[in-house]
Amino acid sequence: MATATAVAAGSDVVRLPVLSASDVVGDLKWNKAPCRFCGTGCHVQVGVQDGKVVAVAGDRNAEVNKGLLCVKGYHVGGVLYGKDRLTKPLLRKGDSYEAISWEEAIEVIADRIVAAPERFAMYGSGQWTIPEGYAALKLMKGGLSNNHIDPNARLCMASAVTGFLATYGVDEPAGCYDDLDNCDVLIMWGNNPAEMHPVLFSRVVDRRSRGEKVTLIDIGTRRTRTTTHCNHYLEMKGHGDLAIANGIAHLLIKNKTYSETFVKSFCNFKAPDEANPNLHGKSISFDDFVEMVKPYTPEFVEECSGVPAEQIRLLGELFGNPNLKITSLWCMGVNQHTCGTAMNAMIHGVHLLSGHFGRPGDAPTSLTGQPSACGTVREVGTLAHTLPGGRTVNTPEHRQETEEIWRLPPGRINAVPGFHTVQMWESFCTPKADGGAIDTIWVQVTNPGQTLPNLNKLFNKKEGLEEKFLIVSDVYPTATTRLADLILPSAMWVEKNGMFGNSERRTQQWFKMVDPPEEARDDCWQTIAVAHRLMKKGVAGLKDRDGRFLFDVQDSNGKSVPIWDWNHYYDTNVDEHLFEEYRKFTRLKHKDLAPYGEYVKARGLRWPVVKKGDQWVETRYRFVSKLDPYVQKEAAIQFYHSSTKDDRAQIWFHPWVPPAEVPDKEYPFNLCTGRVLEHWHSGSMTRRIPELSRAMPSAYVELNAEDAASLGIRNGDPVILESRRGTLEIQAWIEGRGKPPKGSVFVPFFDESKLINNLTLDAVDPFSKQPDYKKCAVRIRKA
Amino acid sequence: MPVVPKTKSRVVTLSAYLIIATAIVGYFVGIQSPMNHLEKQQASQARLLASRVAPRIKTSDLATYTTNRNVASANGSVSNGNHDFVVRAASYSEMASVVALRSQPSSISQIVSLSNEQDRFAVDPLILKQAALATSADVSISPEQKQEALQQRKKNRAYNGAPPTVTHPIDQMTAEACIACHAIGAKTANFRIPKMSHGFYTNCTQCHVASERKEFPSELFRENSFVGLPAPDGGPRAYPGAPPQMPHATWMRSECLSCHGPSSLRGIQSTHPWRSNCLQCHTPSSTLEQTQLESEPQFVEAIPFGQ
Repeated sequence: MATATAVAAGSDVVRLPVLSASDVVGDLKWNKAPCRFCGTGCHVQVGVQDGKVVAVAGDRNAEVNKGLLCVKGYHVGGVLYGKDRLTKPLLRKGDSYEAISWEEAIEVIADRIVAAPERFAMYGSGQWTIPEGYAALKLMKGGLSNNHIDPNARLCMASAVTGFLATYGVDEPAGCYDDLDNCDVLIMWGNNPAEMHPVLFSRVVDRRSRGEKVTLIDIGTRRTRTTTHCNHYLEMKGHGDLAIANGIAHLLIKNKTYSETFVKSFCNFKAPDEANPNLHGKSISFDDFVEMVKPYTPEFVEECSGVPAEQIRLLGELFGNPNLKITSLWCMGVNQHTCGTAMNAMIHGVHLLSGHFGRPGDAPTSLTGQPSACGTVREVGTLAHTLPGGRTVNTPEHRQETEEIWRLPPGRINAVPGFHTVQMWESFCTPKADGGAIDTIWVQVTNPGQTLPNLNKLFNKKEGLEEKFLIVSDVYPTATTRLADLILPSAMWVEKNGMFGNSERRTQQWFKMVDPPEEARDDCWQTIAVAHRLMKKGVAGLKDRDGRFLFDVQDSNGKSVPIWDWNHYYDTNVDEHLFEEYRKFTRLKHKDLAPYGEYVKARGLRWPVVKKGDQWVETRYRFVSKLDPYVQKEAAIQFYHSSTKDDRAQIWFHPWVPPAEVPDKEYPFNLCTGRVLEHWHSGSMTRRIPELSRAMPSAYVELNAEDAASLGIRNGDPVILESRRGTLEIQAWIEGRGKPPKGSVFVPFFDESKLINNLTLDAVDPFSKQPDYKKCAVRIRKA
Repeated sequence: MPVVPKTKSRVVTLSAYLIIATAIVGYFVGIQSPMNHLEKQQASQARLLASRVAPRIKTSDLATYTTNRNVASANGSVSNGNHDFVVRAASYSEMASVVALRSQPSSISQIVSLSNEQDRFAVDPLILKQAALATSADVSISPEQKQEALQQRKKNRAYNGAPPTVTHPIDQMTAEACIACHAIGAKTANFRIPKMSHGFYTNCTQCHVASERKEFPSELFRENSFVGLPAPDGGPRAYPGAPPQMPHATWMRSECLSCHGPSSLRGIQSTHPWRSNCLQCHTPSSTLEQTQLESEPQFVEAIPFGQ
């Protein structure tokens, strides 16, 4: 079995007799691609036979997943073959849809835009590939001088971005997944990675099977599969995390176990500026900080959070032990939070204050939910206020640099940020006469009709508003297409070329492997085709200052390739052209990307990727000397994008405040929404995969057993959930997948026939504008 | 008479005890020791239960061989000659059961016939032992049996290589329940509990989800036309009679006996279960193992795969 062991360990020392694939199983051909689903960024091997995807295997050459996948990844091939794939452009005529040609569809969109370019918006996602997002951004901000472009990532990780900016002055984690292999303690803040990032979770818990000791701590609002693996479970009330972070800081200072050298050498202190709230806040001294956290004794924290004082002391002791390596993980629990920016900054804060930063295994690591939330949204910058490479529209130099790279006439880019997601949809659902400033939204690769909060206000009100026009590019009919006026069939995943960027700064690439069905086409082509049509219609912005088309692509002879014509789109690799142009933007914030060809060879590379000799080398740890090529100082740590321009990170104080809506007499339960292992986000893909759909056919409401008993509700009973915004009838599940504490309920949001977002709250974080899907008040009764 | 010094008598008594103790220990060690010399066996082979009763087969028989227990028993018992079939009982203490086994028609059919509603979950230790000994049974597999086994496997796999879905209700929260049965695996009268085909992973439900949920309606949300890679009928052979190459990866399938062992589906069982060093003869495919993948994927111009 020595051979098997060597093979299983992924060693390439063992050379086996080479047999071509066809000798083994027909003409099956294997090729690499990142998984289509979450932000982990696993690589899969895709098996293609006779032009169809027939098998998937975990990619053993990929560092992220080392050959392992989760059940969604193993079945990702099935997402292409749902029988109700959209295959033709469909235009709404009264109550029905009429199939039209692509030619007509492009014309309809171009006409809507030409009629009122400033009232047009694009709504995309962290599932846009990097080139797709870049093209959409360039069309909007470069071509139309219109900043109304925002992604669903606003609902997902906007607070992580503002948390990083407030702390380090630059976005995205300093550490990487390697921390999971090295940490002694893993703290999960409102996070259930056993279901949401299972491959990363296994990377930690499987260390225990190998005899290593890792202490797992779950700080959560309900018991989950993650909890069952944890050494400690700290059950908190909503917003209890704010008090807990302050409680840790309080104990570190009181016990004098904070890292004085780290704080003195590398940190400043900040508190919110009440008069002028922004990400810079106001500077405070260490002594001010000490005073501010003074009230947060373990007993006071217990009062605010519901977590026993003993367990707060435990956290204080762990962070106070410099010999332990502590990694924090968080995702939606911290981000979907009306104090999301504060909470993100405070987790960074406790790591900085205690010096648990910069050693492998010592890291605050924020996870993302979508495959390219980092790559496309945060790095390309497809948000209402951003430009590529960490630039913002309201910074004159940034606009100038962007205009230079895009060769636009000066002043083309609009300096006023566009509408963020909630604003955009509220404006779209408001009649023009009442001040609604958006008439047309083009949605690509996302499903806002299911995932926006408070759907009755932000989406459903579109129905019947004749002057509003909704364009949806998608692969299947969804909760969004039900109100669409024009539906465009899209190609997906390995039906097109693509690039994603995962949670650990890793940029990944794949090639098209199979054809999309019938008339389905790439989203990127759709954007470029509309751009070209707009140019033909005389919209000046679609030409650069040299009179060339904004998306002009030339072949090796310098001849323009007509990529706006679908028949010629794959005459050249459009992804490579767009990526090479985008790459020029990435140096400013030291997020350097390598040439496209390097990503073809690799299973992704973590930026900054810098050239050493003739090698392109990735970076695992940022801000740490010897590990980060941009750290010049001999000192161990250099925060070279510090917002205070002194190479220091900011440790923030934020006070504990209650959630935006808390249970009361009328609505006595807290509603938390979230995901399940089997389904990815709104379920439009995973619910079409038989294995996943059978395993988790329908949404449910998780109830505490005692609450259920007192309400006379039994397992499987239909119950009515009501909030101030909406109502839902749904089946009860008691002692099921998760166990909420008394007074709270949980509903997953994957089921389009049970739209829980009819009930959720649209209150947002003041800095990131991200809504809170985890806390709102509801009442329950038996149906 | 000189008085024997006290210490001397103590030494004698102690020595007597030691000799008696050594004799007793020696007896039990001896009875547990292998009946045959191990030097001609693979060390790993000796470790495994499956190799306890293993006829040796002449190399000239390899191309067409089926193991025939009758020949083995006809030839009688132990011989070290290369040309004779050798019954390997692991130790002298097991001789009696080996002799008993030889006088029975078929131990496998005996196990299968023991179906009784009352003890459907019961696993009789004697039955297990006999099952292990039955690895010397004549295992010949018809193409129909193989197809039946492949069809059976297909029921809860999306494609060849997909993690199987779980055909029984599961514990929603923890993995302990999975480990309790699947860490070792078993076969009872009515149940086949496969041993994990791979090394130990903690988060079982990460890959293995329930095949159905009885509390919800069974119809699918939407239909899907995905056609998964079928399981191969067998691996390619270099020439007739050559051992087939593995038609699947060993990744996640490192425990060969999980699917090919005595407790697996009949149609894909090994025809020679007493041999346990599988990779000695059956090589993995470098492509499927991902050790020799195309190093650099290619962009295919002008719309690949036709149009």
